[in-house]
Amino acid sequence: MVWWGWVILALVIIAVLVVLAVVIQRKRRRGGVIGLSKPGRGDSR
Amino acid sequence: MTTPIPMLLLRASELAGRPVVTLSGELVAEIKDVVFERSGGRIAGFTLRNPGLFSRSRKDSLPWPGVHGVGRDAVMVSDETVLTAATELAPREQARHADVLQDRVLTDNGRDLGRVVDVVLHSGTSLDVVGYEVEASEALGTAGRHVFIPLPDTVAVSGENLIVPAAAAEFVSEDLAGFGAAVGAFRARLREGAS
Repeated sequence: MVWWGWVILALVIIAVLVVLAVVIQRKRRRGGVIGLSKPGRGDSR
Repeated sequence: MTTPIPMLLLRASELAGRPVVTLSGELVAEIKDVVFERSGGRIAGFTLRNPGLFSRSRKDSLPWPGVHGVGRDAVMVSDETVLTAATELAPREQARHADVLQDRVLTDNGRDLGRVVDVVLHSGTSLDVVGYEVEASEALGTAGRHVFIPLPDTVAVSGENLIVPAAAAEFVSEDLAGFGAAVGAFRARLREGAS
């Protein structure tokens, strides 16, 4: 493969990794809503 | 006749990412998850993460008694000493499979109302879970649309399905603005039925 072929391949791989990182991070940052069947020890009520 | 007090409602997802700030102005953390008690629907507290884009979860949490106030832009605490270990608020084995998002909502007579996409909270002297925002199923006649389902004062559910009284399907609301009235009417109906 000519040199610019390798450059394009590297750029595509980097782009895919960046998109994956952003998707995973957005999912992680969305947060959840945890419903406890029993109150935790920290809840004094 | 007394005029019903308007309910101050917010989605649980609106709290995620909200900064936790001490009364002296120090940024402590950001809200990660909202933790509530399934029996009673009261908010037990919040799990936390460090501020920043690629931040990690924190090993401490904010129990509800430590919250000074929940504002539009920040959750206020008196100081960092109110934080406790995350495992005290939500033991790891309980929290692992206890996220209600994407859980199915079933009525007590077996109708599938849809999947939970968010949880609706009532902000007053305490923060209580008053309903679910669901992606409606065929049973509601608005399949695929997001609607709000009211919850009774005390919800007792466990497992992967969230059980609501069958009457909840009659009080489904399509917007959050009208949902407070629907919750009030639904709970009044349940009280009438019980007396």
